[in-house]
Amino acid sequence: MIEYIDMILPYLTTILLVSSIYAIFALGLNLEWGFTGLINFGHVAFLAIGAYTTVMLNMSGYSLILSVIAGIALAGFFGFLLGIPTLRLREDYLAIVTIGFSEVLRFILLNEEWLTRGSFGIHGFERPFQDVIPYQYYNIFLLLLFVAILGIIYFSLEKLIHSPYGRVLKSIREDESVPSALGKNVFSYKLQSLIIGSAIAGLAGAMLAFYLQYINPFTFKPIETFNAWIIVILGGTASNKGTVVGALILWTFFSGTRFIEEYVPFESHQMGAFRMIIIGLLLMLLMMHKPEGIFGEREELALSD
Amino acid sequence: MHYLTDQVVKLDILSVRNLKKHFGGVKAVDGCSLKIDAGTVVGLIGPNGAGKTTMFKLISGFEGGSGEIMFKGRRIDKLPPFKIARCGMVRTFQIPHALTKMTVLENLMLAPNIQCGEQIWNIWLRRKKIKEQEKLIKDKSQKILEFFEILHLEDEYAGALSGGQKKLLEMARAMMIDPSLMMLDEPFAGVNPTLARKISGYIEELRESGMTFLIIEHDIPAITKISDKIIVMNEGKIMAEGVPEEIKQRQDVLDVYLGGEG
Amino acid sequence: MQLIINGLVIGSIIALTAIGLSMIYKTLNFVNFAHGDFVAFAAYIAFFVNTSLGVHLAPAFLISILATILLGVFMEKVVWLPMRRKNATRTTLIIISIGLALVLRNILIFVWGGGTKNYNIPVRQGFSFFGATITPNQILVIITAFLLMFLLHYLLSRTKIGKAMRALSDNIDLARISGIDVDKVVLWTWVIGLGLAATGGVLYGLVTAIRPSMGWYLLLPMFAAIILGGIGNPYGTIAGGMIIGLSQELSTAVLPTEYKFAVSFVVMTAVLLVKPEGIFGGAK
Ligand SMILES: Nc1ncnc2c1ncn2[C@@H]1O[C@H](COP(=O)(O)OP(=O)(O)OP(=O)(O)O)[C@@H](O)[C@H]1O
Ligand SMILES: [Mg+2]
Repeated sequence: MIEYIDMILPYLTTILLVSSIYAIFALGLNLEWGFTGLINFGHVAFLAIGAYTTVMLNMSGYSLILSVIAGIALAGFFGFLLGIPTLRLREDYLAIVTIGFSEVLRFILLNEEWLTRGSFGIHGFERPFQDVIPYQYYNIFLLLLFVAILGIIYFSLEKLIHSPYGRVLKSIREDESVPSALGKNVFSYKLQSLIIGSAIAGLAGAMLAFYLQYINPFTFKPIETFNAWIIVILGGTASNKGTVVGALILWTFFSGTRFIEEYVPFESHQMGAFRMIIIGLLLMLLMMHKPEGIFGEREELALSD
Repeated sequence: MHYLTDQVVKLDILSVRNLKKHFGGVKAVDGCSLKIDAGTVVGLIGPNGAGKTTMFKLISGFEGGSGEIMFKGRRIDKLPPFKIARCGMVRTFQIPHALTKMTVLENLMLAPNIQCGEQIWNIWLRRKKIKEQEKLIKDKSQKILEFFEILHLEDEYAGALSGGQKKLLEMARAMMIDPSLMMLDEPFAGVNPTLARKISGYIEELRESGMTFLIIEHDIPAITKISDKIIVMNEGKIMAEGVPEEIKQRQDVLDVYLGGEG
Repeated sequence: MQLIINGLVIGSIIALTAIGLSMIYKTLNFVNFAHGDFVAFAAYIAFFVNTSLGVHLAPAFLISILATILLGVFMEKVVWLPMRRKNATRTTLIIISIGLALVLRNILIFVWGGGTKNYNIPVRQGFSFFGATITPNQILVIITAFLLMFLLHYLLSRTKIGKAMRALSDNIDLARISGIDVDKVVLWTWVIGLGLAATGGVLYGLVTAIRPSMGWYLLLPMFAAIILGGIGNPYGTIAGGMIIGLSQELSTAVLPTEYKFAVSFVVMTAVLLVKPEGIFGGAK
């Protein structure tokens, strides 16, 4: 029995660690899309900005906490920059500009080796409390830390969306001409939502770097954006609880497919493509048939018209 | 002539000069000028496609056109809709814009301006004030819902309401704000007659308290009954303007509009 | 000079494919994020028919264009039409289209791998031209693109279906009331829009290597061209496509070639910032 637990515990820890990071990442997207109706197809860019800023600042001698804060702030700042030209226009424009930005950012991370070490990636940066915590317990510690952060983010967002502020965000999602006619500065609210969502993604980026101990541009492929979309939609758009559950489901599923990998006659590039096809199909089918998600709160998003 | 003296005694809250809006070849609003005195009810009538709704959109900033619009002595054409709304003007939409995936109560509670909890930092810094405000706003919402006879639906999603109920919701939401000028686009369309009369009464009550109304309506008897002045539009132009009795007598108005109704 | 020639060639392809995207955008009122992947799909089918089945390139092109259109029609029947019936919002359609983009692109990777491919054609000598070379393939691309654009202009302005398409893109509800068979016209929009995309795709395969992401990386330049030219303005789109193509190629004189893609991003964002209705006007 004990041996059994010893075997399964590290595995479980890994799933939970990754899930908590992705839950936070997706909570940022849920604020933007689920509550405000913004389409951000480049969410991964903010994950990357958070991760790179944190580790690069730390490697050049700044304290860890300061580096993380800078990472969050810079991610939020880029949300602001992208929001300025797009958020007064139709929702399509934000989608285009964010997806373009995430691709351009990946090129920059790959090519500006003087800054980012290109495809070699970065490792050897500090992890929180690494001197104090014994190595064999480190992941458990990290898990506790991440769950605590997730808790803080989750409850803050819940508070946010159940406030008059959240009411304005939801009204923008529904039909922005109504809050406009009532005197709410829709553009400013959209911008704030994008900034907060991006900053949260930046935080998730720092966490991802701590977990992986190594980042390179390939850590931040476009697919990560769509993983977040799947998480949000799976769990029920506009439900923070659903988003956390969605993250857990997706990563349990992904680690499940690792076992299957040995039994299917796919080559390695095919396995990656296969996974993306599944993600794409899931996105299409969920939006077509179950836009309220599997755990959507009542029929909040199911009513058409 | 009496018009001039009128102007001296009464303050016009809204004045529009030479307003124009073209959609391709269609001249939806074609050089309209009008003045609305504070504390009056003005009816805007005219056949379908006359340009009434477009006029509303121009005044409330939802469409850009040419011309000059003054509201409470301030130029507002060029301002975005939310700023115009903050000057104290609220409009309803002809086709109700219910926020479908929010509850009826939430739809109303959204409306009041300068809510403390609409500022993000206040959510953590001024919890008590927000709580108090929320309670006040909720009470007011419920009172208004009760007046419009949809209080029993307060926890339903607005998307689940019937067409007429959505119309009521649209109006109830506007009533949540206490604006200086309330612009209603066909408030009585699809509303049962008893309730329509009740709403008329409410409008007169609010006017007594100093509110100004600009109301688009096809129900001529209803609108002439509550209006101090009627403006008739046709093909983008203002063709007649005056007290209801006068308008009812005008042959040209009868021809384009009232004629059809006998 | 060489850069200008390359720019014109890429510009023609961007313009050709972007017109299809713009038509679908105007008619159906949403951005089809899978448009670029239809472009790549066409190139791959042409490659497959040409190399694996050993068919000559010209018929291979036709087969590929037909196959792409068929796929588009299939998607209209199983996805877009049912979603329109359900009154799906624009955001829903956008998300479905990005899902479709992922599926299409990864099917290409799954079947043909991530590497580059080429048609089975002899390499032909280019002509010298003011110190630059232009290959017969490049000339073919430019000529075909312009021929098709003229054809499209004729179609939109002279034929009944073209006029119906324009009416639809002006106001779909009005068109429905005035007795236009909306679903049929939408179907034609897909056929023509994807036909242009597919033609752009097979031609693109002539002048560059074929790879799964070729369409994806064309998507941003296409958007940039459309936004630059003003949405719903086909001539603006053509001009926009040329400008984007040229500036992408000319940028390689000062920037690493990897940043070609960034050029369209920067141009697009700048236009959105200062003149979102496009520099050549057009509907908002
Ligand atoms: N967005 C638009 N695009 C093109 N034409 C428009 C648009 N909005 C209004 N119009 C045209 O402008 C004219 C005036 O329309 P408007 O909605 O102002 O009429 P209305 O007086 O409110 O009519 P109703 O009594 O039927 O509501 C109509 O001919 C209409 O077709
Ligand atoms: Mg109207």
